[in-house]
Amino acid sequence: MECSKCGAKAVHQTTGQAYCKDHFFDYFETKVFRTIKRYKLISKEDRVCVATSGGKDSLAVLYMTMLYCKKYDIDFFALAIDEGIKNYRDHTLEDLQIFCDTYEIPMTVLSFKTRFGSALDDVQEKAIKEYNKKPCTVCGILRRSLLNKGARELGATKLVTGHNLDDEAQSFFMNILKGSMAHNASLGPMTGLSKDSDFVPRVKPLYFISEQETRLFAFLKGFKVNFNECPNIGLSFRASVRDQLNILESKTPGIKHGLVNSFLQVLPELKEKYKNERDSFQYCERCGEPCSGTICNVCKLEEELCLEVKH
Amino acid sequence: MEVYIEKTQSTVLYEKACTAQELLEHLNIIPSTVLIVKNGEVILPDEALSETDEVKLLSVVSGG
Repeated sequence: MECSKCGAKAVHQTTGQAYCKDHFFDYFETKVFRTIKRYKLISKEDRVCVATSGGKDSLAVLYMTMLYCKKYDIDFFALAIDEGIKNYRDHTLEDLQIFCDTYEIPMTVLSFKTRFGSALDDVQEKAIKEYNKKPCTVCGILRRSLLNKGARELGATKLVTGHNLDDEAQSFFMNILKGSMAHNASLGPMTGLSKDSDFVPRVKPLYFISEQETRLFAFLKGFKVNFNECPNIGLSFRASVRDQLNILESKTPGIKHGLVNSFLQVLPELKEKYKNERDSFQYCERCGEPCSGTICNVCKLEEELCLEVKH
Repeated sequence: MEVYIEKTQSTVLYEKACTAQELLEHLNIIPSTVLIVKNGEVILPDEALSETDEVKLLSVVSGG
């Protein structure tokens, strides 16, 4: 197949268009920059923190954020979380360090071990056996909390994540299947918006980029990305939804875009409907962090898993 | 041809000329979940593969 723009050999095909390597880069950059501008994800006054792990999504979003911030002279840095998952995170963090050294990007690493007193590997057995909590649940709560705290401590006004089209389609679909429509009100290109300055707003420049496009971009750019699937992913509900959506996508191309576009059409109504729930946060009685109940999820985990959280 | 499958970190031999699409169907792999790399270059599923090609199927799935 030939590139629709220049006739060279195509490396990527979308609905009605094919792209060679150079035109794929143009397509990718245009789509990401357009998303940033259309949804006002980053402004010139921001100090931008890019949440990154060294995987393909976060390297791609870190690279694109770097291009955007350099173009508009915006302050930015990378923040990585070391959850303590042996033979997984240690490898991706090595790749990330090489990447940041190459592009001279300031980078900070915060670890579960240092900030919560235990690595994920140390507590997951107890979480599963005694509390029926999957590793992804524990990891998600602690990682989200540490990213927000870390970004805040480092003076960030925006937290960039590598969430892509597949991630968003999966989240929307998962919430529907679980009957948790209120959670869908918290999705979108920019989330975590609140009047409380303790929340650093999260933004997703890869919102309209598929997982396959992200990997292609990383491959063609020559980023060192080892395929290294998290050993806990098979246990998650997300993995099941991801597989089912991929099967549907293969039979009916475009369904992921369809899901996300449908979601964006109803998002304003969802935000309005669940406005009170989203705005009525409290502060944790134990640690003072903003949360939806009286005790935040991190403090609940601290008690259950005998963590030693550094507040 | 020698086909490396990144997700399972395994190599299989396929001794028939075919298109990449046909290879994926044979291996029961969904096209949107992989990048197809033939002799070091990314190709689209409609491209022909010969018995001497070296093929890699790179996983596009997120780490976790």
